[in-house]
Amino acid sequence: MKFDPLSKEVFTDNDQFVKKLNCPYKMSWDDMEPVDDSKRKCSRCDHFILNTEHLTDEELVEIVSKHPDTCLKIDINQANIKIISNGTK
Amino acid sequence: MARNSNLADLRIIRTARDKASINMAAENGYKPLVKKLDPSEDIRSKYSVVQHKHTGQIKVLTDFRSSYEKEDLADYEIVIDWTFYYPHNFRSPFAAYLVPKDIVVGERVFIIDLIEDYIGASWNQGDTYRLESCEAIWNGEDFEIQYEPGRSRSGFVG
Repeated sequence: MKFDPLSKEVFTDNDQFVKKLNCPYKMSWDDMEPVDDSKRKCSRCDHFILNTEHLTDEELVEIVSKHPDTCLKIDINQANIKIISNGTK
Repeated sequence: MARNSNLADLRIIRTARDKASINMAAENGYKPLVKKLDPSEDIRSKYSVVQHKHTGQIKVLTDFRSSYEKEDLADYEIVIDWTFYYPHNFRSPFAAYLVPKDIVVGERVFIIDLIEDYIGASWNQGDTYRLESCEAIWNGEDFEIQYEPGRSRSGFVG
């Protein structure tokens, strides 16, 4: 999984675009109600936010393809994330 | 507790980032609180450029771990070594918070687009990213940003 923290775009390791993170309420993970290890519930829009820490690229693409409004949480220090671009496009 | 998310349904304060939008906001009844942009040395991204020895094409690396993809980079040489820089390029060197005329001293608000630089996220490779939004309190002249420096920040949601 690849992530650009400046554009907030998420890609697979094969550079397939997955999603651009965009929360209108600027919610943070810490403010959400834990459901289990893999997701939390947003109090503003009742969405579940998926923790991507243990997802494979294939799982991520399948989930977002079926439900494009899926919200994601990415920690830039998680092991399965490679940071890309960093404003150098 | 101060937050960088608008959980409390606070009044939203918007930011205008060029002369035309500042003047339009003034026409529409806001008092623009104009500030200089002051890029912080604490906000920094890094990159390195490697160039193919034969084709001349370049790759831009932003993650130290890329250096270890030896097969992929075997035919490249470093032309710019790891360098930190300020990664933002705003369209004007000034911006303005659009202050509603009926705001009261002590009112807690939520600023969507901060003009000031605060660290919003830190990567364990030394890169730091701007905080976009934060609660603030109007003191009659300015917004006191309710930033918590000790809070660990590295997550993105959306």
